[in-house]
Formats: sequence, C-alpha cells, structure tokens
Amino acid sequence: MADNKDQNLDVNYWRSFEELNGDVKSLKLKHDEFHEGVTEDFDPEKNLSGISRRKFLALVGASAALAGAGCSDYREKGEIVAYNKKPEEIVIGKANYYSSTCSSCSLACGILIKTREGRPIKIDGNPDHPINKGKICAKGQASILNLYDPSRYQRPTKGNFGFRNDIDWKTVDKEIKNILTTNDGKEIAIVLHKVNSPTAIKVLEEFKNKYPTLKFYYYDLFDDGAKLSAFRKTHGVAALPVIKFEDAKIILALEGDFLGVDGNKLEQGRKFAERRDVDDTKNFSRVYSVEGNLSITGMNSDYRLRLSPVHQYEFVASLLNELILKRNIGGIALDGVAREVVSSVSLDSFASKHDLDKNVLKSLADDLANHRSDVLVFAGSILNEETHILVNLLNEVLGNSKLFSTTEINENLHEYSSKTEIENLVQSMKNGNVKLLIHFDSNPVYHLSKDFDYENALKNVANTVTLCIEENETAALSNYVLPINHNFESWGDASVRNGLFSLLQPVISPLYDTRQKEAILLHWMNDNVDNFDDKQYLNFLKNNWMTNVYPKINSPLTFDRYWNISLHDGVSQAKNKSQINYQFNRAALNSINKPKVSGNYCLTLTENLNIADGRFANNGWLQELPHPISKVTWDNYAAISHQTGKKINLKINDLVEISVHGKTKIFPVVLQPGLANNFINIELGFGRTHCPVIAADVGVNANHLLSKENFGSSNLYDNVTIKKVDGKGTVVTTQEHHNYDEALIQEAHKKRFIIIEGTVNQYLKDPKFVQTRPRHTLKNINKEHEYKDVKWAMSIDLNKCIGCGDCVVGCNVENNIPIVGKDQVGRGREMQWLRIDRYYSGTPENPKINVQPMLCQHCDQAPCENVCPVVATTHSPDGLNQMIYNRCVGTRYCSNNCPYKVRRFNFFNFRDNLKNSYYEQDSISLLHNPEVTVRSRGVMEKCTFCIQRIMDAREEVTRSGIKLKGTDVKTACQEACNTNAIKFGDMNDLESEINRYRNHDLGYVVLEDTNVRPNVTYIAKLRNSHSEEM
Amino acid sequence: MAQTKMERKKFFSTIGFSILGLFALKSFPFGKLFARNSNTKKNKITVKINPDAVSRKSTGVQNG
Repeated sequence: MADNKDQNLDVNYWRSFEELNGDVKSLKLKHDEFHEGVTEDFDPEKNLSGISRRKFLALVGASAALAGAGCSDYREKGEIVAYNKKPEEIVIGKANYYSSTCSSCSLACGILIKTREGRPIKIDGNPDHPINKGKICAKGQASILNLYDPSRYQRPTKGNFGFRNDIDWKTVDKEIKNILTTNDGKEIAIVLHKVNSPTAIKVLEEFKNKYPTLKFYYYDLFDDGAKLSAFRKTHGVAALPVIKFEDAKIILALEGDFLGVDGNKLEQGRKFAERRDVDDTKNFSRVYSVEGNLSITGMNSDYRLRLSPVHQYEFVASLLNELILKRNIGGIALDGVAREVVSSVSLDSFASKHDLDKNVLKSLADDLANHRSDVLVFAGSILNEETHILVNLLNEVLGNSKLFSTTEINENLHEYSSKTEIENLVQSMKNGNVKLLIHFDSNPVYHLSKDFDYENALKNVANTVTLCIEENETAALSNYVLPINHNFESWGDASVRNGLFSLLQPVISPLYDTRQKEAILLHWMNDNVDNFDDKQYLNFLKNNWMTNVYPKINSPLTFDRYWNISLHDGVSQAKNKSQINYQFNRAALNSINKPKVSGNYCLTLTENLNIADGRFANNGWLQELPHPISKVTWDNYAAISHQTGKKINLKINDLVEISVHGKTKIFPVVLQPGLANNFINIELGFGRTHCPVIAADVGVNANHLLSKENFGSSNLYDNVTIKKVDGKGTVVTTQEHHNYDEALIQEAHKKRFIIIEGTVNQYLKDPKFVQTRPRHTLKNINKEHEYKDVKWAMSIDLNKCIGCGDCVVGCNVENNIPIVGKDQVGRGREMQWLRIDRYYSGTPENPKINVQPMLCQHCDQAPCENVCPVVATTHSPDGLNQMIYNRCVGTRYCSNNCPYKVRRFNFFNFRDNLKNSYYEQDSISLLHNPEVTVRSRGVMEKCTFCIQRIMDAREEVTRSGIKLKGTDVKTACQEACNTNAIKFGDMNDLESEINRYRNHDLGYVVLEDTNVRPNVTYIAKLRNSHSEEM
Repeated sequence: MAQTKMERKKFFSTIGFSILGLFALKSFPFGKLFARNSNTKKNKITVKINPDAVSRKSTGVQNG
C-alpha cells in the first residue's frame, strides 16, 4: 500500500497538453463540474422556436396521421381477383410449358417457354430439339426481357424526321396498298436479314408474284460469307457441313471460336465437353488454338499460339508444306498455284519469323500426322476466302471426312445479296426509282458500311416502311414505322438443317397493337385490306406444312394430329435423309493467291457474344453480363496486347484513334493479355444512336470502320493505323470486383488452391495428385448441423466450364435479378448472384487462363450466419444457407464475413434507380418470376440454390406420396449450362452423381483452410498436354 | 362550467374535421404527383393466352 502511494506520487497522468503545461483555464475547468455556459438561464424564446411541449406533441401526432394517410397507397398494387372464367389449361400456381423456336439469331434453336398465369417468364432449351438438346444461349434466355421491354413500339406511327403521329392499321393498310398497286414500273424493295423460315420464304415469293417489281436484298453483319464462298468453291455446296466435334481427337482452331461466336455454340460446346470427361481420360480431346484475338475457345485450349489473323494464310500453307511435302501425307500431288504457295513456306521458318514456340508447333505437326482422320481443322469466319480454301485442303489432306456428317447439312434457304446488288439498290434509291422500301425487321442504316451511303439514299425514297419491334436507326428515317410481334407472340417455322423443321407458336396474344411481320405482307396481298384476319398467317402456315413439310416426314398420322404433335414437340424430323457426298474440287486451288500483308496493324471487327449485331443493345441483362474474356460491361473497346500497349504507352481507358482505309474512329483501350502484337480487336453492336434508353450512350459505333469491299466477306482489315489521343474512356470492368485472393501475391489463386489444375498425363500417373496437396484440419467449435434427409450440394466441372456466362443470365431471369447500370457496376454493385472469375497465370503475352463460376457455397459452417444481428440468414435442414429478406436490416456484416464475396446488397431499389425508373414500369412486372421475391432497397441477397424449384419439387412429391430425390431439382444455372458442367443434387444419396463428384479424386473445395465446409465442389481442370507438365 | 362545455365542443369539432381531412388526404393522388415521368405512352396491358397453343411437360416427352 505504502509502495502504491509512492508510485502514484511519482507518476504524472495527463489527458491533454494544456493540463500538462499547467494552463490556467484548464486548471479552472478541473474545479468546475459544468463547462461555461451550461448553467446559464434557459430561455425558450431564444433557444427554441417558441413552440410549447404541448404544441410540439400535437404537431408530431398530426404529422404521423398525415404520413399514414398519404402513404396508405404506398404498397397498393391493385386487387388480386380470381379468374371469372379460368382458362382450362391454367392451374393457379403451376407453370405451363410450350415448345417454340428462338428467333434471336439465325440458328433457330428449339426453346421451351415457361408461363405462369398466361405470361411467359422463362426460356429454356427444348429437350427434344436434336441440335441444342435442352439448352439455350444467353441471348435466348434474356430475350424474355425484350418481350416486356417498355420501349417497344405499341402502335403504328407515321411521320418524318422525328415528327411522328400515331396512325391506325386500317389507314396504313390502305395507304400502303395504294402505293403497291400503283402501276408506275418502279421498284419495290424489301431489305431483310437471313430468313430460315420456309413459310416466310413462301410468303415473300407470293408477294413477289403479286408485285412483280419487287426485289429482295438479304444481308447480315456476320454472314460467314468467306467461309461459304470457299466451301462452295472447294466442295460445290453452298452450305456449311455439320461437324462432329465429339469424334475429333485433335482440334486445331484457327482464329475459330467454336465455343463462342463461330457456328452453333450450343451444339459445338456440348460436343466439345463430351470429350473433356475426367472419367474417360483416354478419349480426352486435345485443342490447339492459333489466334490473334483471345477467344473463349482459346481460353479453353490445351495449347495456344498467338498469331495475327493476316498471317493465318501463310501458317496453313506451312502446315501443308510440312504434311504434304515433308511428311508425304495425304497422297495429294499439288500443282500450279497451290504447289507454288505451299512450297514457298516452311513451318520452321514460319515459327522463327513470327516468334512461335517451335516445340508446340512440332507437337501440332506430329499430332496432325499421327491422328489424321481424327483431326479437325476449324477456321473462323473472320478469315478471308483464300485461307478457308487452304483450310479445306488441309482437311482433305488429313482425310477426316468422317468428322463431317453425311446426312445433315446446315441449310440456307436463300443466298445473301452481293455488294453489287446493294450498290444497285442504293443507286435506284438515289435516282428515285424505288417507290416503296420495306425494312423487314432489319436495320441497314446502322449495319451497312457508310461507303454504301444508304442513309442518304433513304431520304430520296418516297415511301419507306420499317417493321420493327423497337426504335432503331432505320426506323428513325422511315415514313411508316409499324410495330411487329415479338417471337413469343408469333406463329412461324424454321428449317436450319435438311429434313429438320421446327415451329413457333405464340404463347401470349400481342401485348400491344402489333402484328406479325409475315402477316402484314400477307394482308397486303389481299385485294381488300379493310379487315385484317389475325388467323390468316396461321392458316397459311398450316397449309404450307400440309403441302410441303408433312409429305417429307412420312408420318402415319393424319395431318391434324401430326400438326398438334409438332406443336407439342416443337420439332419435326424426316426419318430418311439423303446422303451428302463431299468431293474436293481441285480447281478451287487456282484462286488461292496469297493476300498482301502490309506489316502494319491488323484489325478484326467481330461479333459480341451477347449483343450480337446490336439487336440486343437494349437488353440490360446482356449489357451487364461481363464479357467472358475482358470482364467489361456496358461497353466495347479496342483490345490490344500488353506489348503493343507498352510500345504506344497505353493504359486501360486511354483513347486511341484507329484509322482504316481513310476512316477513323476513337475508342477506349483495354490491354488484353494473350493478344497477338500489332493486332486490334473491336466488337460491333455498340454506339447505337436512335435506340431505346438502355442502349443509348453505350459504347462506340465501330460500324463506321466497315468497308463495303468486305461486304459478304470477312471483317478482317490490314494496313490499319493506331494513334494515342487525349482524353480518357470510361470502360468498366468487373475483373477486380469481389476479390478474395490476395492482391499482392502473384498467382495467389494457385497458392491458396482456389484454382487447382494439372494435366491428363499427370492424372493418369497420379490420380490423387489433387488430394495430396497440403490440407488443413481444424477443430470445430460449433455444433454441427445434422442432415438426416436430403442434403443439397453442387459440383462444377472446370474441364467442361468454358466461361461463357449463360448460367449467369439463366440465374438472372429465374431470380429476378435487377439491372444496376454502368455507373453502379463501376462501384462494384452488380447484383448477379453468380459470377465467372477468370484467372490468368504465366506471362501477359502467353497467359494460361482458368475460369471458375463462383456462387454462394452454402457452407455447413457459414461465417455469414453467425454474424447477422437479426438472424436474417439461417441454415435449413437440407443444407441451404437461407436468406430471410424481410428480417434483413442491411448491416452488411454477413457480406463482410463471407470469404467468397458472393453476397449482394441492394444499395438502391435498382429498378427505380436505373435510367429514370426504366425497369419500374408496368410491363416489367409481368416479367418477374412470381415464385421468387422481388427484393427492395437495403436487403442482402445471394444464391439460394433455386429454393423455389426445391420447394416446387417437394410439393410435387408430397402430393404423389413419394420420396424427394436429388435429381428432381435442376437449378437455373445447371439448366442453362450447355456443356453440363454444373451438377446438383442430394449428396446423402450414395448412388447419386453428385455424391460421386463430391468424392472425386479431382474434386476440391475453394478456401478449404477457412473451415467453412462449402457444399460446392470443383473438379480440377486437366490440360491435355504431351507431358505431365502444363 | 360554460368554459369546459366550449372546450368540449371545440375538441369534438376538431376531431371531426381531422377525420374528414384524413379521408380527403387519403384520396389525394400523391403517388401520381411525385411519380417520375415516363416517356412511353401507356396502353393497358392485357395478358391473354393463345387458345391455339399446345402445351407440354417440361421434360423430354416427345410424341412425334
């Protein structure tokens, strides 16, 4: 005690510098209990507003009553009234399904439309369609948003240059009929995209018969022109063969993105994935990708070489040199031009000239030589005709005809128009020789090269009609703008393969005063246009099927039964198909003169996987879906390589001026690892001017760089210049969002075992190599949950996942995910429950790429559950991490604690926040899935493993009295994945597939060392290299 | 006493007017007044099923 007293005397405690320095004021404060001014007299007149306590309470009471009265309609959405006369096929609360055909692009995939109470809410693939087999791409999934788009034209309008008035259909019909029947010999022109409907073709033919001065002009921004032209020359067939990717042991992709924009991604992806099965490693395919642009195929290849597309011609010639001249393969004796071309190059010198890895090239040549008939060489549409002819020759040399179907071929119902034909049309328009120009759901003002001067020529046409669904650049310049039905409101058919016919059926009556485009033409053929018969096209379609399709099918049923069955199935296939023989025509080799290569920059103008040619620019889900390679949203950009960027001193979002044959345009830059040097890639479909709200001010219109000389050929441009200019772009990329690997450690995703990969040879030698990694076993302090019944789990096979993002859009549609807009994405507030993380490893010049879908892991020991102060996130008896939206108060502690960063917070009511409440309008409420809560501001959300589907399955089995099985439920992402990379089910069922994947030798969980026990297993990626090393 | 009677009258008349006022406010379209302007002319949307459409099960059940 005495010691303590002494200690207290020695130590000087102080709380402020004033106290330490003995400030007089400070010392006085220590004596006074209250600070100066506290005890002064209190005067309500001076210190308050003069309101007494009584008055204040009265005001508060009145305000509360006022607020209550004024806000009483806040949540009122109207009355819910039961059906007066319930339609027979509707069971309240139960979905109906209808088969139809997607018309988002020309591939015409079979779809299944899910409707609730008569309104379509979800699109999936038709499981009975032989091409896409139950899968549909992101564009097809998101097309449901186009049906309910508030910007849809709702009625016909007439006017000029921005001054438009509503007009009724009867008046339109009379006026157009008058123009059509005026006998002045002037041309009637219809400009349209590729038509794959046999019945629509018949309508057009009959229209031409009725009005003989009619001419058709077919075009597409991406039309496989060079490839088709080459195949016609080499094989005499004006259609592309169906390729059996599933039978190819080796695939060489030359600027060919068969997993992305080249060909039918759904079919090709599925077939590719069939040979990436970890349980059948003997038949694992090997993919070589030689490309300038980093594509989805390149990302998933086993070997990748960077090569600018202008050198592909020489590369193929070098391969031919190696095989034919050096290794004497193919038994083909070359002569003339072909011999000259092939003998002037060699693979070795080519490799040296272009700094390619000679070891990889040697492996490639060996594989081509050793596996010949099992090798597929696939060239991308972007390459020129001469290169395609050489590729066809290479396939012929390899003798791989068994990889091309002899019973199926991709059918073209008509030819595209040539450059000369379009020029003639424009000239006729300028000369005033076109009396009526009809844009049949096409947008040539936006799509065609400015060299054609189509926009100016349009002003000289007296009568222009645009049939379209929403505002576009061509409609803005047209006299008549006639709104057409959406695909889901339309009858129709499609035939994309020989002997295969699919039907479109409307599942909903037109939402607005619109008509089907074919029906409009059909009506204008009638002598009397006073009364429109909305069944006229249906009858025409049925008649056409009875006359032209039914006889080919050889069905034993009556036509009426056959018709109903075809509507039910969505597809009808002829059983007997004639054999197709492909004979290589050597005369084609006379036209393979080497294209000139300038040595300057090379530019490719390619298709964006989700926006296509710009027709989906107004679809918020597709704009917000991160680009599979660059993870950019809401924008396009000039992608250049890291080295080229260094040369010109460029960083992301710098601006560059790109000049192509006298045309210039400024683009923001994205430095893309893996791109070839001196090469630029830009995607089209952006920079729309006359367009609805969502598409406005998004990206740069790269169509200005198109040349009419490349019309119908390929958008590959040489002799391009690039120059840095002042200013900054605003490209937003999600690749650094929701990071959970450490920023400062290189290849952290490998060191933390977020990505585990190996080679096929390594797996064959040591199947347990994934399991022998350093593992942590931690003691558990929490009481473990018991799962006595079903326990839901998911597995994602990283060998099959190609990173396309279709699963993300499927999830968006199913779960009413809001669109937040570019600005909010820039702040990391995108709301997608599922993201595809893309990791690079190796050098920026030659990176290896891994993709990994990341979603809520539904951890057994979820760290988010423990920290919620209001118990808004709980654990279900079947293993789900649940979210109770109306308990959530928005502390965001759960998101903070989540190691995977998969939780999403509604910082705003995004429907209200984006573009003047664009998605808060009446039509959008019809889009929502009624089985999923629409979340509002201040609430956390995340993947629920599609609990609505689980509950639906539970109800079904409870009603039937049977036990719930894991296979009864398919999540939206699983359903959308066309490579079947995602598996979902009950891991307590020991015989289930999911249980097998959970215990697979290659199976691992991400961030295992955190001991959260996630229920999503990833199957490690295997690269099929020649050695055990990657 | 007379003073209390007057106060009571005033009290009940105030309550009566307040209730009338609340009903009047409830029917006032505050929502429309403060709603954001929409550019599109609105048509009433009616959802009607196409009676000629043929429905099916979601799984692959091909009849043809």
